Amino acid sequence: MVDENYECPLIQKDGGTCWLDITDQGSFLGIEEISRDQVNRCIQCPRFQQALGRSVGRRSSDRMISSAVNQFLTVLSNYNTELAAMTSDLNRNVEELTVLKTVTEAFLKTYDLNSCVRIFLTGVTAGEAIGLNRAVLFLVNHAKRTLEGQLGFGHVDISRYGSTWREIQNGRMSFPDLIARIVEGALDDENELTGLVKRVHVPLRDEFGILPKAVTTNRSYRLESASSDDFPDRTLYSIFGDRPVAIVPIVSKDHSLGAVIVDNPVTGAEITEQQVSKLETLSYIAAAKIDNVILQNQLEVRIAELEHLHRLLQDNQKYMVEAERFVEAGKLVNTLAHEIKTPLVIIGGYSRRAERAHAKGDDITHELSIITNEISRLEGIARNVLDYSRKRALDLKEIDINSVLTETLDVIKGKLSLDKIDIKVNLSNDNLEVKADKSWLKQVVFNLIDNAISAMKKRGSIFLTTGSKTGYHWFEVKDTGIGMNEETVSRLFEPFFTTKETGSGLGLPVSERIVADHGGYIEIDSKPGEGSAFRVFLPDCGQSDRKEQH
Amino acid sequence: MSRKILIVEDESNLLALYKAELEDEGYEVATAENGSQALDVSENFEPDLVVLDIKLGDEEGLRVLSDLKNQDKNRPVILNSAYTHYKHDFSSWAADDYVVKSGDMTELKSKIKNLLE
Repeated sequence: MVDENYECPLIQKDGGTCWLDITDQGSFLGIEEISRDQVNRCIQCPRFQQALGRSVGRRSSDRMISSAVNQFLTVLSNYNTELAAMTSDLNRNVEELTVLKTVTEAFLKTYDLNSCVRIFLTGVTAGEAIGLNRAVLFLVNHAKRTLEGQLGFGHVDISRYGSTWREIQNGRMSFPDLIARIVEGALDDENELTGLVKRVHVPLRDEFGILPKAVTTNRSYRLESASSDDFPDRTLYSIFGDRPVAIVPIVSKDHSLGAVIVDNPVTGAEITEQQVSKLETLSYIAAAKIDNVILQNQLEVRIAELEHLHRLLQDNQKYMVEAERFVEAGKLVNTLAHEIKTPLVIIGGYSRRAERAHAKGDDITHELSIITNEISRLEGIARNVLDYSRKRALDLKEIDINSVLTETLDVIKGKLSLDKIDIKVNLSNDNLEVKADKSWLKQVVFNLIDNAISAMKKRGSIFLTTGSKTGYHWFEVKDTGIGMNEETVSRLFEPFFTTKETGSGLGLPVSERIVADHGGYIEIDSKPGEGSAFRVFLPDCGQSDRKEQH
Repeated sequence: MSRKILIVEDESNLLALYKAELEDEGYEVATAENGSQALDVSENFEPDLVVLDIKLGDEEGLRVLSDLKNQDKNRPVILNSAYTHYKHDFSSWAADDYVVKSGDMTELKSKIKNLLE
């Protein structure tokens, strides 16, 4: 049921009168023009519904009702027209957004300035996009304060517009396809228009026409007919003169990048405000991208510079390391000369003695044996120097440390005089496998035992022991020799540092290098008067494997 | 009576060579392999001349030189070294002469002879 007490909010609000109360029925609610809002409210009003019901029930015409319905229909028809216009606007906006989306997506795929400006100009000229016949791009050269022609889409001579361009303009090739081909690097042909505009450099000052003005004022210009004042540059005037033309600046956040000049030489169509507005939007996106690419390129140049510097530094470091090596080599030569001097003096002295003895017919066996010994010593020095300076190529195999010790001991027994030396061997029963070059490890063991023998003046005990700790297997060469003070221990691995009468001073540095090459280290425990212990740690096979995996 | 010479040299083979060469010249020769031994031997043996091996920059060698001179400042000491430039070292001025180590002992022998005359 209709609420009889319903009060019309319109009447209350506007202070108007309900049409049912009006005797003069030429108007509605006393207002000439009614709005959609008012129509909506009256249709829902219980009073209006009752009046309409009564008139239908009586099947008699009610002038008031028919007048109202007529007015309502007019309003609805106007509403329809408005809606159609809005839909069309909306469609245009959707189209524009689609073009922008395609262009933006294409921009994301490239960091090549050339491709970027091509994508931009395709957006300007493609039929599906803004659809202008021709576009020319200028970019600012900030150093020279000029605008320089970069690229032209379209032809200089209208009669020579080719089929590709027509396809582009007629939309036979879809806009996204077209853009995709540009991103791929296709359609990269230099056309006549580009060749022409590339020669155009316009100073970035207002008196040089509409192009620099658009850039300096950051404003778009739309001209009915471009004069030679607008384009003082002859080439530009020959291309765009005496025709409708538009110039739109390309401006990134805070600085001008350039401008684009467009016209419609084929269709002769006027350039609409809407097209200019679209072009501005597209320019804005293109500006952001071009800016980005220029920055990226600058960054790449900087990175290349930095890489170059880095290489120089590395080279420099190499030279410094080399220089250091030269200094070390200089010391090496000096010490080496001293090292070989003594054997040479001895050899020289005994040779002369042998000569004299031989002349008298005496036995020279003693002299010859000393000479032979000293020559062996020289050979030893030479071998150690070579070992020290040569880069070791390691032939790594899984070997047991125990076997290295026993095999080296066999060699030593043949080479060194061990008459008054008691060698006590206490090898671990475990399998002490390490990844190592056996011949080099033997060299280490030999050097350490040789040192031990010297430290004991060829009289005393040597203890050879092997064992394990977490991640490492070790062997130890311990002697009951003279021992060393802390200073001597700290200098042990210096090349040519020696306390031995016959030492080259290279045995321990070589040994240390060999052990380090295997990823191991040497621990020294020594007390003056009590003896020394050298313990060599080598990574166990598990650790070597883990290291290789990392 | 033959003149007595003490040779100080840490290389035993070299020491043996010097001893043999100087004995062939008719000297009575004693040897020492280090500084403290040298002073001991020198006290008992009372050599007429000392041939002392000094390594460059070796504090001990110079101390032995000074100790030997303190024992008897008139007893000549010949420095015997591998380094030719030791001759210019101020610390070695206390020595009476200087010989660069060589397999040819002629120079050493003639200097010993000069100093003992």
